[in-house]
Amino acid sequence: MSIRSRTINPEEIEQERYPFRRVWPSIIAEMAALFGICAAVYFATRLLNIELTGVSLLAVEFALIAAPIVLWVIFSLMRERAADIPRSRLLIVMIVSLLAANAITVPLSNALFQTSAWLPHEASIQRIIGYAFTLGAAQAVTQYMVVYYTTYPRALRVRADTIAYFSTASVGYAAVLNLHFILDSGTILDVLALTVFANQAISLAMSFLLAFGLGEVRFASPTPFLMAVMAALSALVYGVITTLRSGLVNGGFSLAGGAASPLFGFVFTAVVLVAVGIVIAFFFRTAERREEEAALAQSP
Amino acid sequence: MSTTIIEVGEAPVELTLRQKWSHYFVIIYAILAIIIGVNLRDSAVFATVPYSNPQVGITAFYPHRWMIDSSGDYVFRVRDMAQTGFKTAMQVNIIPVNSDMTTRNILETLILNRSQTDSTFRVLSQEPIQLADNTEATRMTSTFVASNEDPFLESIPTVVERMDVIAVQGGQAIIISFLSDALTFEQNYPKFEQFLNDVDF
Amino acid sequence: MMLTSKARLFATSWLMLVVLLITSGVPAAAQTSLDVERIQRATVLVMQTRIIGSSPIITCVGSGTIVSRDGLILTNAHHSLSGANCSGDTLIISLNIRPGEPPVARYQAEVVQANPGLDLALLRITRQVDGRLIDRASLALPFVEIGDSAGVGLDDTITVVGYPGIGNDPIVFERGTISGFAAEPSGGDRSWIKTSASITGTMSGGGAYNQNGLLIGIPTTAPLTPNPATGNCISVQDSNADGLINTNDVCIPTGGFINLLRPSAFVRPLLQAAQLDISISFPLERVISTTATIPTARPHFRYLGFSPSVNPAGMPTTIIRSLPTGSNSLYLFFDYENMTPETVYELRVNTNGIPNPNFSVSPVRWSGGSRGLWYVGSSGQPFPNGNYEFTLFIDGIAGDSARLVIGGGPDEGAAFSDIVFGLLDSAGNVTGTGFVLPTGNTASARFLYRNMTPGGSWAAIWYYEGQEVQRTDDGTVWAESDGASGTKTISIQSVNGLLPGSYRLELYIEGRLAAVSDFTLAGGQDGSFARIFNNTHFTTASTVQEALSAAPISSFSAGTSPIFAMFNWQLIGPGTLWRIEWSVDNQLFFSQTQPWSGAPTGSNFLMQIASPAGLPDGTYRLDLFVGQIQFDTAQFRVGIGQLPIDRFASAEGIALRGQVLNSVSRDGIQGVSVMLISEDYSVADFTRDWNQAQLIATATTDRNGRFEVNVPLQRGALYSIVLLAEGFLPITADGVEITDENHPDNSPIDITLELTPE
Repeated sequence: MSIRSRTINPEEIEQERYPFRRVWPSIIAEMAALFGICAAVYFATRLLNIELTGVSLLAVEFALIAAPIVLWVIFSLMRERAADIPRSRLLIVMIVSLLAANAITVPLSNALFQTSAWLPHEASIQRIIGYAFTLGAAQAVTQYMVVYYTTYPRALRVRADTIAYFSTASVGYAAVLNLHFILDSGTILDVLALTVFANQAISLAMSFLLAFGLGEVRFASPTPFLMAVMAALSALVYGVITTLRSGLVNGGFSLAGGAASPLFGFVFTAVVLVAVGIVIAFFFRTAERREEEAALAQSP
Repeated sequence: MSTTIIEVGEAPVELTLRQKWSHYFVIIYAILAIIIGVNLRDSAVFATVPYSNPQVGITAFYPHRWMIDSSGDYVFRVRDMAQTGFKTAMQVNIIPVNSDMTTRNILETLILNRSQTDSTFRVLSQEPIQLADNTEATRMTSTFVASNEDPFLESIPTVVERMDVIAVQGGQAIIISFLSDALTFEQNYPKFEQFLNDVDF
Repeated sequence: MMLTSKARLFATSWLMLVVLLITSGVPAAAQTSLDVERIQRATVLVMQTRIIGSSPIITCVGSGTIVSRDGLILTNAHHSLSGANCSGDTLIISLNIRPGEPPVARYQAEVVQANPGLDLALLRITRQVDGRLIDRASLALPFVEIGDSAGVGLDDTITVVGYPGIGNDPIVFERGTISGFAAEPSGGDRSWIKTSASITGTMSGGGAYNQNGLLIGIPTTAPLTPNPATGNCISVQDSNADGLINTNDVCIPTGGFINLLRPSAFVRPLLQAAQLDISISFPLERVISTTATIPTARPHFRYLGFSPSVNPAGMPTTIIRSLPTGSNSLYLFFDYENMTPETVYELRVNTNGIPNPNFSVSPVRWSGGSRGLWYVGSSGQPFPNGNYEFTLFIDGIAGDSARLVIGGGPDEGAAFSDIVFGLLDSAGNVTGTGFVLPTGNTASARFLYRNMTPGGSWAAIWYYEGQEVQRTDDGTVWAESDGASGTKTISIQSVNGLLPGSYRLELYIEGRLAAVSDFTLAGGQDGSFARIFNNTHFTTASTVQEALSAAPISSFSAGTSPIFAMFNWQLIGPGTLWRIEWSVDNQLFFSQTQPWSGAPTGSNFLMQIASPAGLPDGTYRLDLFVGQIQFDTAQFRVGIGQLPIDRFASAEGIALRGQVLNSVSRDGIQGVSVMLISEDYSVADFTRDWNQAQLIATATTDRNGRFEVNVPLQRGALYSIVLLAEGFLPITADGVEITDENHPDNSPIDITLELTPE
């Protein structure tokens, strides 16, 4: 008598392999790593009182500024190469965004808007509006223009492409902001670490909104105002985050003294980035589902 | 043997009207944002506050958030307390004058007084000008060195550029002065120009 | 029960021991409220200089103390006023910028009030050291408050602060006790405070502080004529440009060690006048007929004797030969002549041949007139038994000496005492004010006598302006009918009338001076009283001529200046000492005694009281004295008749200072405005109006980001604050309050704040 064993597991269903690099995990990895690096530098400097000087300090400072780009290279660019269908314009977007920010937007907006001369002393609402219509709009439009003119429409094959390219543009733009920050203010290491993260986080949060807008324009047929509205929204996000973060960071007055609280700003930007990311990811997922349902409805 | 190269390109993607307009609207938004941003800046930087002193018959508009002081030997003085270093200031003085006195006489008196009280005082230029209401006036530019009076602090003296606009009207000389760090004088001057255009006496 | 009591006793003893140990272990500084830092900052080095060739040469050096936030400096007159020993014309003020470091020259100052005799001067900072004029209102210097010198007592602990060198040494704090008081006619029993603190000559002009940190005295000594050979001066500059620094160069007087403090009570009138910026001029040209002569002959003293007490007119009650055991007051009386305020005098006391600094008076300026009767003494301080030798010095040269034995029982010998002068009434009683009599044909003196022996010789000699005019007959003996003890009245008469002026009566027993007293004859007779000054009134005018014909005014509008005061006088002899006192709201701000130099009788003696910015509102009073007697008074009001309140007059409070850092670079931010808003307004009020009137103080950070709020904060008050700088987020706070919890002591609050750049 022979006994045949039977498995209770269902037979494997063969799925089609996703040919593109998954963008969200890369972004999460990049930002988590950056968060860890910046936090480590901050605590090492503040709590362990590690004080660097001279060349070693300079090296660490430039390493910090380079960290977002290095992480992007590791988690985005190199993994892109491993994908079946790589996004070929990532490097171009990065280079163009660096050049555009450094050569045009940052110097021009500083000269034109001179925000430091008037915005710090305005009330919160005015500051949010002020930043939204000046530095926020400049950054949003720059990111949009860089991605639009380097990728649109051919390089945008799936919705995730918009996230990939805009996040790349955001890394380029933030790198320029970080560079200007260290060159202009002669900052100390702990503050630099937190600022590098904050600049990257704000820039990335803005890019999420822009990516969603351009994705909709490319793959759906929304109202023609949508992209402009998303650009305005991302500028508003810049205004809100910058204003609230400054408020949290700025020291108060007491007879015992008043020190700034950069850690509050650090945590705040991280939380806002996560929140914006979740919302935009939800919208992306909803849009993709909508497209899938539409495709199913059209198929015979 | 001849070689023929055949270029294989992707077929052009035709943008829809919505997609085109979407891009145009972003450009329009960018232009609008710049206009609004500059406007917001100007409305903040050049915002003014009215000042009126019926006793001496002066109305003026001075920069918003500048601190006003009328306790000194002037009708009033406003200072930009946010300015780091020397606080940019505008002030209005009124001195009674004889009907025979000209602005030139008043200038000479001013120069004499200031030279005696301040060894760093230097006159740069003097020239006749016409105010916005066609009043004839004289403008004098001078410099002096200002420093924080607290002897226990290590303050670096600042070279201050001063512009006095002197007009004689109704038996009194009106001296409207603008004082700024010489390095930022040109940058701050538009505010004084605005102040000068708005002042009425 | 016994055990319990023992245990309780043991426990109590331990508790007491612990308490004793704890209290004895508390540092002295913690037991006092001496604000060391404020005193350090307020103590300045005063350098008198003059240009020789093209270089400024230091001619005199002393210490000084800032006593008002707008730059009034209290110091000695001898190193401030230009004179023979200090021939400079510019006063350089150096401040103690950092503790433990020598002072740094910062300002120039001018003398605004001075009394050369009292050796006090008030300087006002007028220029930066480079000669630029300073707006007084913009100064906000740390200053100390004047305390009540009358409130200090023997053995009180004091701290004397000053600069021990001529500019190379940091400030020093010398602690000591009050070892006694020296008496002079210029200020009564507390003309000087004596101290055990070790004070060097250049600390003269500095400050002596009580335990509450209030200035109660000014260490004072007057350096003698600089003489490099004696080591009383130092040459530090090559003033004659011969390439060498030697005895031919200007020698800066350094003085010897100091044991005297000029009490702060003398400062108040000078300070009041300086703060109100009031100047008084008199006599104006029209009424003066003769000018006072400056003595040119060599000054000298003529010893008279010792007295155990002084009467209200500053005269010895009696002249003694010895002092009984347990006595605690003694006065040395002497005549002086040809003295000037620049004359330096000194009293050295030896007890049993050993120098006794407790009763000595270190070299000081002369605070009396050019000639008269003077005393220097001590009261309230027990004199140990011994043989005392008192030697007076003038300008460093020893003059007369006198000896006195202290010890044993009271002197039972014959004595005269307590001379008073007046006119005889119908009952034969001497009436009047005691020492100022109206002119007439007769003046009488009444004195006490005791232990007189009938038949013993005695004499009374009357002097007029130093010349003998009447004496008892030679061989006059004490009448038996007068008895051994009692009261006797004698008179001086002249059929032509006694001339107005200064008189003296000397009483002798057996050829020994037993009592002496001066009195003054002046004015017309008003019963037994003199009528010397009258019709004192005030007016305002633009010229002296107009003032003389203008109608009297008693209430002037605010800001009036000048105001003229006029009075009439009669029968005042030349040289008669008279005194003018001006006060405002009952606070004395001018007092000057001078010899009369006008015609004996006249009208409209004219004085001018003026202030560049107009006389401050207040009720002003003019009092005219001869001796200690007030002979006329009048007052007028200016404005509301009450002095304006100076909200910056108090130095009490807690200083606020700190550093403002850039939160990004942690570097100090230069030029940040720190604005302290008064209790009546909030940040919202201020940032709505941006009105300086709402601020108590503003400060601006220096190149290191450091700031100092120049108005002391008060405990319990609620302040608001705004920190503002372009490119940075502002910092604002309401309800900032200093409490015992957040700041238990009165030390300065030093905070670090961070501004966030945007």
